[in-house]
Amino acid sequence: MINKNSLHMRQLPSMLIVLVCLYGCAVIPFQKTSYVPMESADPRAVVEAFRTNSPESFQIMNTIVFEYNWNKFSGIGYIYVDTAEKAFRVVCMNPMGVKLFELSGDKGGIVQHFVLEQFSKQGNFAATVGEDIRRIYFDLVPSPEARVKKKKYKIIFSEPAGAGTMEYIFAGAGGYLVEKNYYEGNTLNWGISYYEYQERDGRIYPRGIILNNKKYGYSLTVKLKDVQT
Amino acid sequence: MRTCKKIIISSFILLSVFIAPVHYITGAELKGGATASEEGKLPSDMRELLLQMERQGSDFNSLKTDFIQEKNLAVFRSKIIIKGRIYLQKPGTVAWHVDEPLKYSVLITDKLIRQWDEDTNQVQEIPLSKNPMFRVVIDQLTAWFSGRYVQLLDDYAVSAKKTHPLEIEFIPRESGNMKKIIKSITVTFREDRKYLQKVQFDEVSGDSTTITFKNTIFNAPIDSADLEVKGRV
Repeated sequence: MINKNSLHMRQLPSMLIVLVCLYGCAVIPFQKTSYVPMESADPRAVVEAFRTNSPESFQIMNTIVFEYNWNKFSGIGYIYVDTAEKAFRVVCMNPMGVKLFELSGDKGGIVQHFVLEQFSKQGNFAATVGEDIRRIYFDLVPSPEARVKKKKYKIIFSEPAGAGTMEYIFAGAGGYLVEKNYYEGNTLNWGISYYEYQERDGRIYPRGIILNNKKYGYSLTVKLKDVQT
Repeated sequence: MRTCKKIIISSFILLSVFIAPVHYITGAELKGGATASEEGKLPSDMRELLLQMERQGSDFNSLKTDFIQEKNLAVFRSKIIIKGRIYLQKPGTVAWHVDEPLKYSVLITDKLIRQWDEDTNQVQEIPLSKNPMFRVVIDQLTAWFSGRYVQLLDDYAVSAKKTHPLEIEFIPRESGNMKKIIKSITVTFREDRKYLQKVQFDEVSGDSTTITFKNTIFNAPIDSADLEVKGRV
C-alpha cells in the first residue's frame, strides 16, 4: 500500500511545475514581435524614427483586462493622451457601459472627476491608475544620455530614473519600442510590453500592451479597439 | 498599495455585474407621489398609467431584442457604441449579450448572476442568496426589462412627457443615492406600447446613455444557448 505522504511528496514537484508554468507562461493574446537583425541599425536613428512615427496626441478606445491573484476582470477604456503636455483624460466602463471612473492628469497632478464609491473607499485609486497610464503612454523614448547596448536582435537603452533604472528595448522590423522596464537594484519592479504596431493616418499605435507590475503582483492587458483621429 | 488592489478587485466583482440600474439603489421609504401629467389626455394618476402599461406589456412570456447603446461622454467628442442582444424569459431571467466592442454576456436569474467576456474568457458566478444588495439591483433591472413599472414609483418621481409615442420621465427622488448620479431617465414606448423603444439616461456629470431596442420579437422561443454566457457566437 502506498503511503499517502509519499504519494503527496511525489506529486509535489509536478504540481509545482504546473503552477510555475501557469504563472510564468501566461497566454499573451498578441503576436510576439518578429525579431530581425539590428546590428547595423544606428541606435539614435531608431529612437528618432520611433519618436517621429509616434502620435503626439491621440484619442483611443481600448478593452482592458485587470488580472490579480488569478482573478480577471475586464472593462472598456476611453483615453485621450497628449504626450507633449504629459496630459491625459480617461474614462473606464464595465462591458455594459456603466462608468467606473473618470480621471485626468497633467504635469500638475491627477484629478479624480468620478470614481464609483467602491473604488475610492481605500487606497489612492486615482494615483495608482494615473501612474500606470503615465508608465504606458508617456516617456517612451530614452534621453540622449542613456547608455546603449546593441544585441543581435535588439537595442537596449538604460538610464537612471527615480530610485532605479529605466530600460527601453527597441526591436522588430520597424525598430519600435517593444519593452519598457523599470528596475530597482537588480529587481524588475514593473515592465510593459508593446505588440503589433499598426499604422493609422501616418502614426503608429501598438494593438496590444501588457503591463506587469511585479512589485504588487498585478497585470493590465490593453487591446486597442479604435483610434479617433 | 496592496489594499488598493484588493479594493479594485472587489469593486470589479461588484461592478462587472451592474448595468445602469445599479445606480438606482435607494432607500425604499418613499412611496408613490407621482407628478401630474403634462398632457390633458394622459391619466393624471401615474400609477394608473404605469399599471396600464404593465397590462399592455404583460401578454408575452419571452422576448428577444437587439439593442444599440450610445454613450455620450461629456469630456470626449465621440460616442461610444455598444451593440448586442437581450433575451428575456419571464418571470425573472434576463440574458444580456454584448457583441461590440467586445463580446460579453451576463445571465441574471432569480438565483444567480453568471457572466463571461472574451478577453478574460472566464465565467464568474455570483449567488444572489448571499448578496442581498445584488437582489435589490436585480429587482430593479428586471422591473425595467420585464415591464414592472409600478414598483419604480418607490424610487422615482414619474411624469408623462408625450403621448405619441408615449414618453415617460423618471426623476430620482431627492433622498436617494442615485440622485447624485442620475438626473433623469426617459423611457419611450413603442407605438403599440407593448415594450420599450428607447431608454435615455441623463447623468449629473453631463454624460448620457441611450439604449434603443430593435427587432423586438415577443414570445419567441428562447433556446438554452441563448441563456448561455460562454462559447456563444
